[in-house]
Amino acid sequence: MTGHSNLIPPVAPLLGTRRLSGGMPWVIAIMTALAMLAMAAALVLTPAATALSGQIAGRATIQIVQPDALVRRADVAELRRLLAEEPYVVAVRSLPEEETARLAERWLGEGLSQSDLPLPALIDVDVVRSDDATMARLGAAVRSAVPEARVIPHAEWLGPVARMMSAIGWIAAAIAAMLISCAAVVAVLAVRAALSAQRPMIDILHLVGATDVQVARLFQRLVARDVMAGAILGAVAAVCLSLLVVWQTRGLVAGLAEGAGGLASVVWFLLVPPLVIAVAILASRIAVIRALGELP
Amino acid sequence: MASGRTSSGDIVRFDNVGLRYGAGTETLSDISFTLTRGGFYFLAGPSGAGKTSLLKLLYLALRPTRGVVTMFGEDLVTLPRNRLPGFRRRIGVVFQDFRLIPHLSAFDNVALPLRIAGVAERDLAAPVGEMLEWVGLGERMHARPVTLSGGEQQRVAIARAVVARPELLVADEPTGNVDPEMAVRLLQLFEGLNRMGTSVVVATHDLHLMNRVPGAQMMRLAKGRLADPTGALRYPPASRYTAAP
Repeated sequence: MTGHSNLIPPVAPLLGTRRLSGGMPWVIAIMTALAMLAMAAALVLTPAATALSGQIAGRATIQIVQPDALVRRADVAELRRLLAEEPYVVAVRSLPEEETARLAERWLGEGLSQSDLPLPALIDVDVVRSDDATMARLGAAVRSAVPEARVIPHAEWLGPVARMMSAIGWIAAAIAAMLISCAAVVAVLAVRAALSAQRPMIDILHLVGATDVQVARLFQRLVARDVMAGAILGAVAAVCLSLLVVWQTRGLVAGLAEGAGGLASVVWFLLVPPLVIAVAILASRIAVIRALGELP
Repeated sequence: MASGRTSSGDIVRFDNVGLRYGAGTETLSDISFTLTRGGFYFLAGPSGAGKTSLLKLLYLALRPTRGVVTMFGEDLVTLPRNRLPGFRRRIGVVFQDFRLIPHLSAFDNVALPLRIAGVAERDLAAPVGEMLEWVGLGERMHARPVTLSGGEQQRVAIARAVVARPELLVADEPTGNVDPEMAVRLLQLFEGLNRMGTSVVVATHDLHLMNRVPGAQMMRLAKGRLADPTGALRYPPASRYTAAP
């Protein structure tokens, strides 16, 4: 004899039901799907924000506003020569005038020539370190050669975007965590209702010598069955939705996903349903044991 | 103290036990008695006297609010809750309303205490079948309670109560829902069990039933107090039946 039998009669379930409550699997399914979608957003946005921050950290654009095209071209050449000699400069790339004109076309329309509207010359510079001192040295060097040139660190205008992406990513992760917790709360509420409905049965089990752990195991099985059904359903829905979104916005998502964690992200994404199941079962088990502990 | 006077023949001892539900007055007051191993007891008293409350203390559904309860040699008042199941497995309980599990067959209802105690499935058939034969329901072991008569349901309940060979059997108005003929038959089952060494406590209003067991001892409750003018309940003489060592 052992003190902890599985208590499951072969003929019929001991609690007289195979289900905890009719609606619980559906609620768990919706929460699992939402948690997975939130997790997917977190897994794409947070690393993408980090990658973007890394990309813009050591980069600046030098803008030369000079209406005379010949002088402007001479300034560009002078700055390229000067920056190539600076030890903290990693790379220098000047934007061809045609490319600058193409960029301006989006706002100003086609057919503009340099004589109609002189466009500034743009030079991208990568520096070794992104600290203020390096940027200040770069600014001083540029102004010494071309006083009307402006140095614009990328972090100045792309930094808020990266920070916003990061914040949205963390908010999505928090939403995923809250939805997983909510699934646990739903399981606890359902199991409490079941405990109340099954009180006469619990009394009989206690009278014939069942331990709280044995009784809790019965309810845990019911919870596990319902939660697993809901989590699987929700996971299938979330995977389908995610694939649909990826397919429809494949260009944007591919760009964002470049910085994402690859296989690790997929693992985290697929870890949500098991996490929902584990947290819900654990929470309901604790709730049952506590409720039983309050009985005489 | 109870432990100081408990002999090896005692199975249960109550010393100045009181029971109160919530903040109300005491339902049971100053209850003191000793149940000897192999004894047969009738618990009588008018409705509201506290019989069911006393039985609940006996089958460990409640704990007293004061006093000392010693059962199988251990003080149950201070016993940790997680040790109660082990003691409950040594007690069989029969109720007036049977309390069978409706969706389980007679076999599964009777097998429940054994399954809880961890008996393997392959070892269930013999003791459960034997017990159902003993109560005359060997042919109906697959029947659900709803298809059984009141007397048959009570016999299944008795089989469930005794299948694990309890040392103490507690029955709360077991004959209340059966006809007189069946009541006598149920009592014979209790006597048979008692002859095998089990202490039996039966709460009943039925005087005729009490008269059918000549050696049984009477415990009379009135207004939550146990009448014991001679002190025989508190300090009983040796039991009629002595359990085998």
